[in-house]
Amino acid sequence: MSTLLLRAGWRQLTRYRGQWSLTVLAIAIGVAVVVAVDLANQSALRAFDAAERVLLGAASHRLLGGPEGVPEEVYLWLRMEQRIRRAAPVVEGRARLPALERTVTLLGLDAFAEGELRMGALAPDAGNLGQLLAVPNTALLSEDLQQALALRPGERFLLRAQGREVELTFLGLPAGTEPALAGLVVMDIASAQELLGREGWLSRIDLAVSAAEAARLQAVLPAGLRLLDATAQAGSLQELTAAFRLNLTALSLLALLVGLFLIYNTLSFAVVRRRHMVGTLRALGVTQGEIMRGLLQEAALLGLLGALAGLALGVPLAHGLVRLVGRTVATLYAEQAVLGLVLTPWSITKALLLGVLGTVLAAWLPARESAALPPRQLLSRAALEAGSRCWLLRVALIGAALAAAGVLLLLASGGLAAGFLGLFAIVLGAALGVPLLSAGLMGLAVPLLAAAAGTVARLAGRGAVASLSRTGVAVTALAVAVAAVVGVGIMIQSFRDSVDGWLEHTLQADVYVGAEAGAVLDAELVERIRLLPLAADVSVSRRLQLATEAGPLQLWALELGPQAWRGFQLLEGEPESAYRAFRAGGVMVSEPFAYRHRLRVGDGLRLPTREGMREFPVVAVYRDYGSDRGVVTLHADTLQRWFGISPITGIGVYGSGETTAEALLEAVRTLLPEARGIQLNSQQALRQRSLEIFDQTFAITNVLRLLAGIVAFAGILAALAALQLERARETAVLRAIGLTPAQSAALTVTQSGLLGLAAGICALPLGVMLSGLLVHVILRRAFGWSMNFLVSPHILLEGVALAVLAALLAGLYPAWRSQAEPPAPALREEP
Amino acid sequence: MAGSAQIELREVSKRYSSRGRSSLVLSRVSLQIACGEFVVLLGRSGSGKSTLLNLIGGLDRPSSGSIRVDGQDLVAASERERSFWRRRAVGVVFQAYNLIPTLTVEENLRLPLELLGAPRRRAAAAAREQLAAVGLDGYGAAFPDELSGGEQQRVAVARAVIHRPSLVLADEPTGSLDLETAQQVLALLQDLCRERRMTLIMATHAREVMGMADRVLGIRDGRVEALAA
Repeated sequence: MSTLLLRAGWRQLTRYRGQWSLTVLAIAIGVAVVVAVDLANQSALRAFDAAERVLLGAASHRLLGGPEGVPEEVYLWLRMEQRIRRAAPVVEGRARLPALERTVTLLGLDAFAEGELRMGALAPDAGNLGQLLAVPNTALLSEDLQQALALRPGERFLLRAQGREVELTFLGLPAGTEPALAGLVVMDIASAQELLGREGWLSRIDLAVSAAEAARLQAVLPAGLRLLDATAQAGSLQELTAAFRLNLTALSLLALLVGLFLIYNTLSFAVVRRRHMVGTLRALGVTQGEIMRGLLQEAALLGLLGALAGLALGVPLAHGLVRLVGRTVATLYAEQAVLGLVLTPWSITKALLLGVLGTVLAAWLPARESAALPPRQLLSRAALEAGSRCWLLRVALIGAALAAAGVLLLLASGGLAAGFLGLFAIVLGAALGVPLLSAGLMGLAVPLLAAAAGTVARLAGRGAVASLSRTGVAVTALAVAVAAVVGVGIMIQSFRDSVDGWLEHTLQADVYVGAEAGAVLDAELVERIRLLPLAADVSVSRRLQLATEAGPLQLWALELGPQAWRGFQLLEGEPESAYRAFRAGGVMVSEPFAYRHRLRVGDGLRLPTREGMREFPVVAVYRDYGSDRGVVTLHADTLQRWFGISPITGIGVYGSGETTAEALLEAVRTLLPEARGIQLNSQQALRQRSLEIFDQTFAITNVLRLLAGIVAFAGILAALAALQLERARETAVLRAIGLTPAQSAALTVTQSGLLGLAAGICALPLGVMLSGLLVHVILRRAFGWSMNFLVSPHILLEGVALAVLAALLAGLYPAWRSQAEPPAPALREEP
Repeated sequence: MAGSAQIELREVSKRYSSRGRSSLVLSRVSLQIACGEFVVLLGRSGSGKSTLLNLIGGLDRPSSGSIRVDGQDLVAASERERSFWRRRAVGVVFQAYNLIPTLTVEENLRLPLELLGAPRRRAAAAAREQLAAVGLDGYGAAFPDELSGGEQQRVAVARAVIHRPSLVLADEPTGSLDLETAQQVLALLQDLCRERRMTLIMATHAREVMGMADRVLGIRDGRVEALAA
């Protein structure tokens, strides 16, 4: 290709620097959002992986027991009778650091066994794990805890477990090159057993055995013990967080979709702007291919600049996201993993590829159209306008086909990935109808405007309609961004409303007593509360975790009266018969658990009991938003019979007659032991706190919504700025016949506001549809939750206001330019 | 034909700067044009004809010198004052017609009147009357791109005079038309201006217009000189 052609293109870029800066900005923001979410996801994955690697070491298998764990003798049996040398016993439990008011994982390890298995990965910097055994009441702390407590080796700190506080000496940090672990206290196994009240029991035994050895061991295992593949166990955390990460990725892809719309829009303008140049070049004999290559090269250059800027923006954004993701992941999934930002060469390569390929892809269609047009048409504006008007219907028809394909995909597959694909197809399909719908809406608005404010208003309206052939994609991008804001807003509100309703229904007691990790609630306390004159009834709950092949399983054992039973919203099962069956040894499963494990009432659920695996009948499925992993609920008597006694973790107190919650709260408070670690809450306070956690979990969604809005704003600004350049001569003519600068600016702002209004109105059905799909398809498939669907008018109004405001703000600069530019230079230019 | 001086330029210069280079388009131009006069500005492309028209129409400011039109000091006037003056006192015809493509022919004609605050009904009636006057009765509902070049220029002429301005500026109004159509448009423009005693200043390089004008001014090397009277 002639360098003159490249030079002509390059000069076009440099002449309209502002315009191209906006394009680069739109690409950069799109890339930055995707990069940031990708980095946050990758960092989370790496953190889980690193934590598992350190905790597992060379272990290939894990030996697990029933609910109480593995009897200590099994370890001796393994080493002495089965001759397995590389085996290490582990005791694991939850404890509390009073100084930090923080729950930590207490890990008890055997110094002698560890050396062979974990290769000293958990040994202190100085010396080795043996020091833990040699010096009583000593512990290693993960780096985050050491820093938070500002401890130096030899200094002491308090740890609370099982209601007792002990003073421990800090020995050092676990070894290893990366700070993979967080919230971890490592002690000698015997001390940990004593502290956790698990004398004679181990949580598990980690083993490094060959497949043949494992098979041999499997055959001779005593009853109640299970040998599991450790690597499969390690993957369970990644699987658990997969839905969470997929949601983040989907939101980032939505931002990218909006970004691609905008890039397409801006590049279409670029192509239109140079139609004369392209026409002249074609007339001079330049081929379609050469024109196309030139345009795509420019797009690639812009994409590269945008991607580099996107990387620069994305890395600090990722830092913020990692903090938000980290907080959610730590709260909901993994307390031991340390989340730090990891920037890999692959992340950088992906960002660059995304920016460059995305931009080239977005430029391909307008470039092809431009290159394919005969030179005569390129030189005729009328032909170009007429051509660009017919695409509205064509694109809407393509959109309808795409949306129909999305619906078919949703019906054909029940998977989450298919759910997201279907959702994207439907949203994209519906979005392609936005330009046609906008044209229709504004067509209706023009006579109304003209009737109200005369020819100048009509001019604004007609200008907005005519500009749709150029601004249609930016309007669509704005509509998609606002639809995302509306859709996610409705989804969160529906979710919050469902959670609030669930809390109101579930929290039947007036006062709740809860044990933090490290604290205990004893049976005596329950009896003393029961004897309070203000208390009508008491329910007792025990939460425990069972290790299973599919990862940890939450068990919730209840000792409850009829009032507490009413707190369950049964989605399957008849309340009275279910209660009878529940008392008789059946289990209830939460909705997410039933969804994940495809369980229905009447099915059997196999659980590891003290007497080996046993099948329990499922008697009901109940609504529960407390855990997306799912919970299995059983009666306290069933727990005692099959799993042994477990510490009480919660007490619900029901007031009698006219008793106020405050009075009951005070009465219960007088009975509580001095030891800290016991939480006392009124029903209202607990509900409030739960909703606060909910809001915190969704904080990241707000950030991404804001970013999608910024991308759309940048796009509208770029489109309007381009339109203003395009219409400079027309504006100059109006100025020549007496339009004042203020009127000229008002014309631009009115057109911009009309475009925003059209985008806002189009965004409403799109947003409601998006939220319906999120609530009924995505949340259902990702977490197994069903929920109410609540569309409140204020979210819809906010959506329209946001679109109009974004468009008006975006119109300000072009409006300022239109009134500041003297008309004479524009009149001098060739039409 | 000439009456009292309506337009007065004193020592007007205009310099354009671009990328560090500047060029003097008009150099110390002084001239007077009387009310109702038809003045033709002749010159080659780029000689400064359009610049002079833009300065007289208040569309641009001179680099130095003073311009008074209808007693109004255009150099001292604000952009807003010049806009209001223009909408009241000036009509403009361009070579490329420059009708607003998104308004119908009738709406294009109503626009100058409605900008002046005329009621819509009266503006519509005036527009229809003016259309008839330029021979385009019945074209009101058409959009500009549905008209031929000659028809569009006749609409542009109608738009320029519909609000009875005191001054009409025409910048190469026949540059895009064939000879026959060009003559029709010129005759129309001249007739309308004479009939309504409007000053007409026309920039052109078509020498055949010279015979129709009261005065012909040539522009060369940024200076204005009288060619014929």
